[in-house]
Amino acid sequence: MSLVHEVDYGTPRVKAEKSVTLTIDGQAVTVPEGTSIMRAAMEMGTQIPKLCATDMVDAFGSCRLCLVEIEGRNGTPASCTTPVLPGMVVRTQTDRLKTIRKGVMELYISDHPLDCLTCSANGDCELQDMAGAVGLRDVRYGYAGDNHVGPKTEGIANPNWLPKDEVKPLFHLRPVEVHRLFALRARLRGSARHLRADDLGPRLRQPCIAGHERKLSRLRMRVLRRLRAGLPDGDFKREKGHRGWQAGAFGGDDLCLLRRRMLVQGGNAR
Amino acid sequence: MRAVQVGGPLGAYFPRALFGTPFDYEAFAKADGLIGHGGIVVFDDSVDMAKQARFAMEFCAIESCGKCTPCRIGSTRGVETVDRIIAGEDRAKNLTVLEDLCNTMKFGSLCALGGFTPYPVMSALIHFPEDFGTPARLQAAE
Repeated sequence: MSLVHEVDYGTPRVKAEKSVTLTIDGQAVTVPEGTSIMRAAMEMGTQIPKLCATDMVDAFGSCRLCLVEIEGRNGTPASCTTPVLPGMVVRTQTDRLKTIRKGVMELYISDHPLDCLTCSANGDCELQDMAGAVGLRDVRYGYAGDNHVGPKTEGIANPNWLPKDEVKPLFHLRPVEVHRLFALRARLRGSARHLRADDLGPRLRQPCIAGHERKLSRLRMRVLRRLRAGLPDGDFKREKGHRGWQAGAFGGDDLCLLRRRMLVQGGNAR
Repeated sequence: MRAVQVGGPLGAYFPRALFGTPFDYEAFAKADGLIGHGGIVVFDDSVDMAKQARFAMEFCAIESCGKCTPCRIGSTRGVETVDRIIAGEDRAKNLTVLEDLCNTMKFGSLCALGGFTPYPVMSALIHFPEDFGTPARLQAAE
């Protein structure tokens, strides 16, 4: 897709009077107090690998690709959930970080279909980008293990209307806030965790159902259709009076998501 | 008595050679172990340490909340990899994979569940290599 890509800063902009100066990869940068390391790095043009963070929602810290090293601090904190502090010295590229990121990416791909060449996301895919960015070449776990890749057919709610569908496993790494907008719900824990559309079918037909819920159901229906057709998953619109991004009305601004390359994980939504 | 696990299911397994370790945080950390909740489990000579390593991964897979990837997928892959090692498939390769996986989980996980699972796995692997069907390599490293 030849759309103009907006810069994704990773975490929302912070408005603060005080500003903080820190050093990232040997370069000094000044940002408002409370900004994440990830955003500070992006402000100076350093893109830290990431999958779950996006500047439309609050940081979530689940993908574990944006880990950084901070001088004087133990371990490798996630840059999206760590706020900047004055005088901090951050390194975003070290051999140790490379090894961890590659290891995490290898795990992601071990639970993802190997259909990049035929996938309808067609190169416009964050997962593919990140696999490239961390230099993943092969997956040593094999593909025979437990995974979410195979088609799952149980529990079709109403085949004529909308199959209960599961989407590619990658989907569940987006923050829960985003999922909620899509009326999709994370189910179960551990490796069984996956996203699933709630079955609102029979309830939708009841006259007493709240308008809001009806709207959400329609939105979800639409999102799933889009996913199954290989399109991006949703439309967002910033509504007046709401904090953050809300599910837009029908016909909302799809381009917004397209530009931001949000979750172009289509295919036939296994 | 063959091994002792201190600190709960995510504590390291210590062989007889380390039984003299003083019971304090620094000494245990130095020996790549942890005090955890302070519980001590003693294993007699009928224990199979490869199975114990598998148990640690399985424990993590069952307890995992699924939020972060190293723990959610890593623990499941860990069980599969240990199974392959026990079955004798491509042992050398799978042992390397397991070590790399432990490194990813230890430093990549969001919380201590995924971060500490490598302790029992790696300590079993380092101190009891004979149960994993090989290598002198790890013994030499010790």
